[in-house]
Amino acid sequence: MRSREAPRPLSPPRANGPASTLEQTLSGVPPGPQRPAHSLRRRFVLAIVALVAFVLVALAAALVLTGRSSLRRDLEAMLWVITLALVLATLLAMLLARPILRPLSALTAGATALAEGRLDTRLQVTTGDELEVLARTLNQMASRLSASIAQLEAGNRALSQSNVELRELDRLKSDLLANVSHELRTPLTSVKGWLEALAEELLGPLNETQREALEVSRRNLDRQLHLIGELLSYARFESAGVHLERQPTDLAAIVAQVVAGVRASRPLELDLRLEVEADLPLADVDAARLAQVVENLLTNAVKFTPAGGTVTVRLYRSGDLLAVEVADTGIGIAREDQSRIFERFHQVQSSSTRRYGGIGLGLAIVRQILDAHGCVIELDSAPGRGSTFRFHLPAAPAAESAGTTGPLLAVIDADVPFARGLADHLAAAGWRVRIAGSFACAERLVRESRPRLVVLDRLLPDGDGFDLIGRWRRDPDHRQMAILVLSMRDEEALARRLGADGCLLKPVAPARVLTEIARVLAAAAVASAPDEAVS
Amino acid sequence: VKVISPLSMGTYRILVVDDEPDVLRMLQVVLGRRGHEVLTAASGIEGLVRAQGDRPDLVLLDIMMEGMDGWETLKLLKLEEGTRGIPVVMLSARVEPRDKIRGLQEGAVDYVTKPFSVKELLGTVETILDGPQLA
Repeated sequence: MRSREAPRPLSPPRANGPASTLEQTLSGVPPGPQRPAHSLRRRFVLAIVALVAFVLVALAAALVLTGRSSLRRDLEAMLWVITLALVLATLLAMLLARPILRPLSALTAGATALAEGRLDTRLQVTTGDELEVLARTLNQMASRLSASIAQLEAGNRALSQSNVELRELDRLKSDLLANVSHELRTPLTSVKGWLEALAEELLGPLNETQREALEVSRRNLDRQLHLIGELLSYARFESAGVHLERQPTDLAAIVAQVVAGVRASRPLELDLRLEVEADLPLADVDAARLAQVVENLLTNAVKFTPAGGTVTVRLYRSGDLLAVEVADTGIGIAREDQSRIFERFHQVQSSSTRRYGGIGLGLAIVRQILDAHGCVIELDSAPGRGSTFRFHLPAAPAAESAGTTGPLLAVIDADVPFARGLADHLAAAGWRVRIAGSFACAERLVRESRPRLVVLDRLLPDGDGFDLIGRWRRDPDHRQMAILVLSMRDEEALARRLGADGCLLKPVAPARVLTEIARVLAAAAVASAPDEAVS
Repeated sequence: VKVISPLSMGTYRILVVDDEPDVLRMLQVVLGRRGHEVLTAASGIEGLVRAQGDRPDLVLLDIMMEGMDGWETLKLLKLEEGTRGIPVVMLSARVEPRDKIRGLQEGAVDYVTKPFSVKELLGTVETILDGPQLA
């Protein structure tokens, strides 16, 4: 019976025939393609057998040739002697060959096992000659190989472990940011609320000193909130990247809003100017992020410009691009500092931190946001001669769904993802669709491209969508335009009184919007037909 | 920024749902001084019960609350026949733009980030409740 477990380390083969020894040694090894390990022994035995056969055949031939003579008798005697000698010699040769052949079998079997990947195999050859050295070398090689493989496997395990940990860390980081944001702001909610209620005299009249105390508290609270916001903004962009919601944006409206905000936030002892070229195209940007850029540049300019100076925000066309420029007559920046000011926590001199306040993240955030938009910020500045920051933004492509030639339709909704989704459905139904996300953009879009129908959401960031209905109905250019209102509340009666042709309650399925559009247009066609007949 | 006008066009019943007692009390006083009737709830569940029982004209709903959060509360308010039509303004100290978008997609009328300006919150709430000023 063959044993299924191969003895390891290999024991020297026992002397019960070459085949059975090898089979015992290699049992448990699946039959490989070829293992000619026994051929050496076989060839050795064959050689001896051939030699004996040759001598015997030669003698037999001599016997036949010599016939019946005394010579023949001598030859017969010689034949026996020679045969005996040959048998003895063969036995002796086999005895002498064994110490070489046995370790060779062991070496062969061991090397085969190693080659098959059983690296814990160790060869035991103790012949005290070159074969033992060979076996030792093979054993060393096997140990080194096992060690390297173990190391590699450990390395791989560590790598995949740290991959898992990194992903976990990333998730924790963004959770932490959201939670830190929440934890830092929540306690300030009631502080801010109460301070404002007091300052607005909702809780009773104030004397001058009380008013001053509250104003100082509020101003400092707002400063602290601004810093928290800046820190969290920077950290969020750094960990998760800047996620942009690009849409056709009226830059002039954004810049004007930011300038108004800065004017209102503090008493300015400098001249803050806004120069906007007329009739600029819309820009393809994330409106909220871009407002952040302009605000950071502007507050910086105001901060570093002494009383009596000038800060100018310019908006103009530059080839196919729109240029935004914030220029001041302030302290300026030395050439060697110009590249460093966009690094985080950097202010030109450490003393300026105390003098000008802030934590030096404003420009780092500016760069993060502009990077995400794919634009570069330029800086012209020299100490004492003021600074000019400038960047160029792409104009929005005509936001029409390509390949359709149907009538034009406008979707006006501050919820841009919703507007895009709806626009895709309408475009699939054969309309050309343009979208606008603000009051200002909507007004311009309708004025410039005269859509056949507008789908209008009332809640717009910069105005009440219902005011647009009134304007369009009073304007002879747009009186014929169909208006379909989408609203969170049931205000169909009011919308119709203002002049809308239909009203749907949000949330609404795009298919429902399509059928309502068809209904509104059919009704408009019926209504306008007699008019045309009369005129 | 709007200056607080003496009183809004009407007085309304407003439900405030927030698990921060300090914020709850502050809003109760501020909205109360404006002449509104203020109901408060310190959890999402309590908010749902009050919304169904007392039928407020508007709900101010905090997002990050222990237990049932503002998102779940909003979903249940919009599922229930009796409360579906009540406008909901989300309040949250989270400033991620996607939170705001989610709020609007799930049926909130507006989304106000904490800490808010009382003036702006009153402006938002009263604009929603008064409806458009007809010329």
